[in-house]
Amino acid sequence: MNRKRDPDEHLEALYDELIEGALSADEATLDAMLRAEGRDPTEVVAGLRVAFDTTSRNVRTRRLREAKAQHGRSVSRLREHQQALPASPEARRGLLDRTLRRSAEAREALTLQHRDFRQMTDEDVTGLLAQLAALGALPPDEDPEGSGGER
Amino acid sequence: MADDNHETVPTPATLAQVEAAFKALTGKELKVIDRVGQTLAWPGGSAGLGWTFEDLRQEAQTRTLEGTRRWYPGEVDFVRHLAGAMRSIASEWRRRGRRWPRQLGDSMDADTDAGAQARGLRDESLSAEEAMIRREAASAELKRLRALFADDEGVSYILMGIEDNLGRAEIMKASDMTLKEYDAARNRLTRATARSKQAGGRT
Repeated sequence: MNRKRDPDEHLEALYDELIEGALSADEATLDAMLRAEGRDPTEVVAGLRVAFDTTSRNVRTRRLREAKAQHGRSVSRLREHQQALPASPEARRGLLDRTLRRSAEAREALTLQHRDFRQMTDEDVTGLLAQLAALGALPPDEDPEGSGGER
Repeated sequence: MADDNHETVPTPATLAQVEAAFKALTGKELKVIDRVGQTLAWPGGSAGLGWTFEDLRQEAQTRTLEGTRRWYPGEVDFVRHLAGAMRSIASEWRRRGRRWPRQLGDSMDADTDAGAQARGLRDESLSAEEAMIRREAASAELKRLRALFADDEGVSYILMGIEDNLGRAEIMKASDMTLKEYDAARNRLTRATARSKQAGGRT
């Protein structure tokens, strides 16, 4: 004798059977079911086409949207660090110099990009300091206003 | 030496094939998908454990496009693939008691517990209390359907036969139903299931 299903299994098996019914139904039956529910078959089809297109577009562009959001977050973080840097170009160059003297790693990375530090523009210096600040690579006891000048 | 028992390894569809398959869905196929999704929707009631056809459709499409639920064109047609995806997602959500908030793991390998754990998603397995709520909900839906179709011999036989673990052919034979009668009874049942969900009733 077959074992009786518990309510959970019974319902799952019932759904399987109803799904099979939907998969094998002809279009007239499907339309009749929709109309019996007060739904217009043409509108249902049109609505589903839009929904499928929208989801496809969202999935396709998700990586790009996430990258854009990530970039936005990075830019704001750098801006925050930029605002905390010394006000004058000279003080900022001094800070960069002191930072590089303390960190061999940062010095090596920078040497690859800028063989001659003196050729760096003020903008380059500011951008670099902001990146180092974001990485937590600035000297911990550094006065952000650079009032101490060269140490 | 040639291997006579060589079996062809099923090849999953490429993203381009999947996208093309979505665009190529016919009106009839879309109505089938709608019917399957309406059947699998779950109101959830005051416990907030429910989902709509739209939730299922979106999740099935996203998993298919992301490749976490793969479509094998040589094995199964696309509509059956989508129906199967919605079916397993609904079952998974029922098992976990609620659907996973997608924002916690947008590209999660949600078809596997391992994938969810790898992404640090919280375990939403049913507690004993939730399992009981779910069993009660299933019982309530079955009770409602039995009451609704108390005077409908065909539907009553289908409900009883499935409960007794019988297949379609066995139900038809034991109840003397023709295929046409069986299909008609099953359609009445399908309509009743979807209607209750659209009305937001507890199932």
